[in-house]
Amino acid sequence: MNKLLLLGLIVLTSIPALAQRKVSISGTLKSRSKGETLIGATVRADGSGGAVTNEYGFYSISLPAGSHTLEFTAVGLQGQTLAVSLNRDTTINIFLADESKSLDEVTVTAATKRRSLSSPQMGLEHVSTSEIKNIPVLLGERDPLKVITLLPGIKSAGEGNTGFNVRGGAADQNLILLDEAPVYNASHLLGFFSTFNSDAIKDINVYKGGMPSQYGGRLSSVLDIKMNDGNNQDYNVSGGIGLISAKLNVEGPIQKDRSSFLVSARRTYADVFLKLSSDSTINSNTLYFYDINAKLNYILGDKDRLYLSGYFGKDRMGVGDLFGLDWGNSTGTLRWNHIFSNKLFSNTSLIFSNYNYKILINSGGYNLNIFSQIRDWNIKEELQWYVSNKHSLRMGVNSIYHEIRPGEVTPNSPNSSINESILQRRHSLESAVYLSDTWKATDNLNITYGGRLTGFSILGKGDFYEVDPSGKVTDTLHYNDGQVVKTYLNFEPRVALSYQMNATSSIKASYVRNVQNLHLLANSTSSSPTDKWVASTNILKPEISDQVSLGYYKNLWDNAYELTVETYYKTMQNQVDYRDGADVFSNTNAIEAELLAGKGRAYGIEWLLRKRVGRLSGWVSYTLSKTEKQINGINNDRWYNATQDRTHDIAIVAMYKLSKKWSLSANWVYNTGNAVTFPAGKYRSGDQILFYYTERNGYRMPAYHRLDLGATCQLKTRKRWSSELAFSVYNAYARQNAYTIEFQQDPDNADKTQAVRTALFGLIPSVSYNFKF
Amino acid sequence: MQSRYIILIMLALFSVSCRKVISLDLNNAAKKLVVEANLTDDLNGCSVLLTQTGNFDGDNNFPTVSGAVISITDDAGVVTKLTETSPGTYTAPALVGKTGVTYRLLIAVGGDTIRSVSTMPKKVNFDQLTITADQILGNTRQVANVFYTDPEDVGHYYQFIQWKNDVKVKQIYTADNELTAGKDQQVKLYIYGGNVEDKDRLQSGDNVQVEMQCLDEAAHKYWFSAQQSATGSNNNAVPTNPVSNLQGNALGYFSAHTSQIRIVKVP
Repeated sequence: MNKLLLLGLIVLTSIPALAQRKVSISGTLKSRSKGETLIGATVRADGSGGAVTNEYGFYSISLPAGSHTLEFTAVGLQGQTLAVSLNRDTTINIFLADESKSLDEVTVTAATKRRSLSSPQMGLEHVSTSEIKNIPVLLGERDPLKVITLLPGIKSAGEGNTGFNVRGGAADQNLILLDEAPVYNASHLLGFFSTFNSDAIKDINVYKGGMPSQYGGRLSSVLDIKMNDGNNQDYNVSGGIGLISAKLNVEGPIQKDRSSFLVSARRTYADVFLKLSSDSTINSNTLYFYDINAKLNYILGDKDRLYLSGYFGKDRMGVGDLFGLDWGNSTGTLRWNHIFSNKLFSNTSLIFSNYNYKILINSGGYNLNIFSQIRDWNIKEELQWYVSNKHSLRMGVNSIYHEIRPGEVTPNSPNSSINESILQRRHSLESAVYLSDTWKATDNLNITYGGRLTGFSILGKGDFYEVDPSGKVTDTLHYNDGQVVKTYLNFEPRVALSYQMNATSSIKASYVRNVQNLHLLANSTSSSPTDKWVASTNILKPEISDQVSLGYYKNLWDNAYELTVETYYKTMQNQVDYRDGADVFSNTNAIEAELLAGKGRAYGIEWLLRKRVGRLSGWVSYTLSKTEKQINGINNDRWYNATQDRTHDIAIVAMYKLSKKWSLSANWVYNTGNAVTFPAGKYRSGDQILFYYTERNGYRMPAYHRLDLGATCQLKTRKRWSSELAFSVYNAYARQNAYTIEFQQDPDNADKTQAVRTALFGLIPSVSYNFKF
Repeated sequence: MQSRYIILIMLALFSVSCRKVISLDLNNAAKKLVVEANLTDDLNGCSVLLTQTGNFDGDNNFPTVSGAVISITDDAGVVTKLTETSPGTYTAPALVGKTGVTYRLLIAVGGDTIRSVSTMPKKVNFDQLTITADQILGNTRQVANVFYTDPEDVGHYYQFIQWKNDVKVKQIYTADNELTAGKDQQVKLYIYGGNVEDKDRLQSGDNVQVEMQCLDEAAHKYWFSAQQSATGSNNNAVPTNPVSNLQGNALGYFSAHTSQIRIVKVP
């Protein structure tokens, strides 16, 4: 660490000599039609070099004084070229116009950004909103989380499951950020849909490795989702009606050029169909979700901008008054951008995030509610300092206060047979400082190096425990309000470099360490809204992962195709799992008594061949990988395949622009089945058959494959009004993919046992109507 | 229980889901000894059944294990030898368990020794057994209800065994009083699962018999974990063998429990 800092200082002190006779140009890139800031747009000076806009559309570039040609480009927009003569630092804000669509021609320009060959960032996947729009999905409900699982190294946690596994990591090891606010449960409707409404989304990045130092807190990935800012030029209304949901998106200026708002809402109406049933026990069931994204933003002056964004979502399901389950996330982010100078950009964020669920049970004497919640208050200050053309620094501090209410059981009727039981609230403070420098060492070599120092303090008040190896609590330690139970300090080095071999190819390498202090306890094979978040304790250590990766990048056939090959090796420490026979729903303060900790390792190679431009676009991705765990107390202490270990994973995605009216799409996925535990025998116990297990995850589910088809028909457009019909077929050849395999006594022959496969979906067609004006 | 409901709702919503019997190539594990050792507070309540595991594809008649030497020793050091009354079944009819007494089980068989300890807890009265007609996801189901009053102190554990017309219902029902101490209880013994058919459910005229066992924590843990992870159905937990209170190379349990039985006819 000291060496790194020393290196950083030497590099910085050498800057003034290099920076002589230079002027800097900075500004913000926006789209002309909407006023949306452009993320990742390119600024090139005199046909070479240049800069990329940051997440707020800001760029800064240093050039020798004199005459230059500046070129501004962004995907989906018309590029702009500007001849300038510069004597002093200058601000140039640019508005890029929408691409003009000639009347009889099909647009064949790129739908997505080109992967940068020169940037040291690797392990980064980007999904464009147009891809989300075109790729067919279940019941036509466009879903960014479904689309990212078609990329290499990112695996869906299963059918009807929003969870995803990145490079062998668990589903809780993904940092999911919506406008910087963490989303603790990204699923709707038990995981069939995600919390992200594609209409409200501007940009999605997934980091599988080489995470930049501003991100931390999860081991395996960062899914960074940015919401639209809202059109500050004109009012826009768009919406859609599908088989299971309807949505509406309204945006427009509050004060033209200066401020705007955006509200995007959707609601599913599966329960409306339930209501149609004449059966009172069916029509009294509830099943729906809704969510709202909202954003306000104000340009306060040349140098200041404020953003206020929020998300609120709720799921409700119930079986009459027998059982109910409500859950939902809410997040809020207040951000202030300030431009100190042409070279120094600052962002201050205040972030709130909340996830809770409530269960209601009325069965016999059991009349109770169960409540659980995790809540964050987060403050963050970040500076981006464009020191010179060779160096740009990013540094920041961040502090999050977590409050977890692990479980609160309360009787909901005076006759309930249940006593009130409120688990102690858990408080912790997660702080970080980070610094990284992106250094253009030579024309071909770029290096990003830096690190992140994180401290996780467990705060009182509360009882903490000593637990013996068998899981018995041996001692209870009492802590008072504000007392620090324990602080875990970790340094997370982050290094990445790229070497551009020629105009079309480069190699990159990176090393990253990540630390995670919030752990999701999920015992079942599929995720549930009631999975528990727990923070590190005196016993539960922070999870740590170290990942090295190496990649090769090549643009082929006149840059029409991109080939990416990345390989990685990752080790993970302090991985948590339930003990055998643990009571998952136990309402105890000493949760550690139910847990075991061990280690994991994951390695693999990912191939991605992508075609970005032309009538036909899409990609082929293939991942070959291995993920294992070793936890003393499980599988006789031997290494075993993690559930998400799938040897082969293939996705083919194709989008074809048939005419101005019709566009078609298809995707096909294939993967090795999950590792799973099947019995190796059976025996009797209490006049009943139990199954005998000899090995954890020693078997495989059957291979999974599926074809989805989609077609979008652009209907007649009139002035501002445009609309389309989107058709899709999920599981087009009706493959009976195994959702579960269960073992049971043969109902027709009590002397035999049998294996029964449940497949969730056959072929599912859907249609939805979308409009815009 | 919560996950059960969740799965039911999912299946009801996406009723296109489809169940099919498939054939799997499962390994045949080496045979392992299975111990079912019970001691109740009744005459003829002491029995140990020794069997072996079988292959998944085999039938459900498991080979019995004869020739074992089995004894149960109480707190005071009184040793009772069990005798093999039929192949694999060992009994001591006169041994009646007493509340608060800890019993030690010792089994010597084929060079192996299996040991276990179980304490017979205080008996909690089985007040009443009734049948109610409940609405469950659009169907009316007859359900057995067990009534008792949980003691004020925590640490009481129960198992309920249900017979329909003298045939044991293939479900494991357990309860503890972690959240219910001091309260009147009404526990519903639902009959559910993917392979449950109408003939398995309670029908008008059926004789329903329920045994309520009060057992110790370790014996309860066996049944609780068996129910969670060893019945082969897609329950909450990762499949694994139940947490056994036996020491030695065997599957199974030793349970010293009180036993109360009530019978009711489905109206």
